[in-house]
Amino acid sequence: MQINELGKNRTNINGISDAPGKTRQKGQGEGICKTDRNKVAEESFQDSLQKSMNAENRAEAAVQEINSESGWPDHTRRPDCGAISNKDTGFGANKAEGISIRVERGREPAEVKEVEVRRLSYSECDKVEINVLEGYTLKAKLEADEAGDGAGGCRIYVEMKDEEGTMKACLFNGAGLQKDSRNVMERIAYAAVYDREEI
Amino acid sequence: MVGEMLINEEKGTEEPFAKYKDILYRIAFSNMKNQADAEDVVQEAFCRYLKSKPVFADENHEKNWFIRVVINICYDIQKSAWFSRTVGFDEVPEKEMQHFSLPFVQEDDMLWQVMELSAAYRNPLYLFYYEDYSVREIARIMELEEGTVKTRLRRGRQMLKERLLFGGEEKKPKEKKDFTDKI
Repeated sequence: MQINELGKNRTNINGISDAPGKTRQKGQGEGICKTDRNKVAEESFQDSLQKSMNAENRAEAAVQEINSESGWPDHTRRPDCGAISNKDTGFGANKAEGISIRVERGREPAEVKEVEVRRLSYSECDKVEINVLEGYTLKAKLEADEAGDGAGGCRIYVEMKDEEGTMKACLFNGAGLQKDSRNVMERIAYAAVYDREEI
Repeated sequence: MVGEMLINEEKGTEEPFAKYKDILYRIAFSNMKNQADAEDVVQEAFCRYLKSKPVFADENHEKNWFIRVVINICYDIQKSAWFSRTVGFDEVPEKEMQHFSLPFVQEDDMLWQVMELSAAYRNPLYLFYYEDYSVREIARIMELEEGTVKTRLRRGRQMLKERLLFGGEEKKPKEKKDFTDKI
């Protein structure tokens, strides 16, 4: 009896009449189960999303509260070297444990402009770097800063030859150079200024 | 009269010798891997210069001629049966390393790895990275197409990577059969 009722419900929902001779086609009726399962999944996803958003909001609020107490100017900003994300402080870290993302802020990037290639020889350069495996060569030469606005009164001309032999040149301002920059040209510019004795 | 000629010849050789002896020695050493042979090769190059007395369009042309002659002499020596039977080409002997230095460039182990490649890859890589020659100039010196030079540079780098990672053996490309020093 119960089985028949179930079957009735199913056909009614699918809009198929109970006319004799009509059989249920493959896949029909399974939609209910799938829809139910999807609904459950959606609900659980919404719940977890809502929970994580709440957790994030709570974490942000907590960070703001701490910063306002300590007197730091911007939320999450540290007075010395920029900012760290929530994940770095541990707030909201329940979702991404072990992941540490550091966002650099508060440090001025090195002033750089692309210039014409001068084709310096190695003998004319203050610093030369050859990286055969990566396929490039770098040449750096210190220049007096005519404008006088560079740190230490210098600009650094850097020339790069890539694996195809294509050349590119940039002029860096001495201020704001970073030793551990991702830009290899900036790194050699830094080395030309600060590590000259290593040559 | 003969004495005067010899003096004039000496004067004519002095200038290019002073200008190019260092770079020619470095190129010869990168091929021969020992001081004595490298010096012999440079000497032979200047003998050929005196014999043929070539006329050059400019200084670059002159320099490139000398480099080509040095590379060709190295090829000739390395091809000789006596040399291949008596000298091992696997590694640069450690005691010979002190006879080689690159001005203005910090030496690294990679330089010695480059020297251990076969000549077809070694010379383009050495000239491109350690003597700062362009692809076009290398193509002119070695009498190759620019595309061939680029390919050898790429394969040479690949071989170096493989050597460092797996200590793999390199594949030898087809060498040019004619090594004569035509201008």
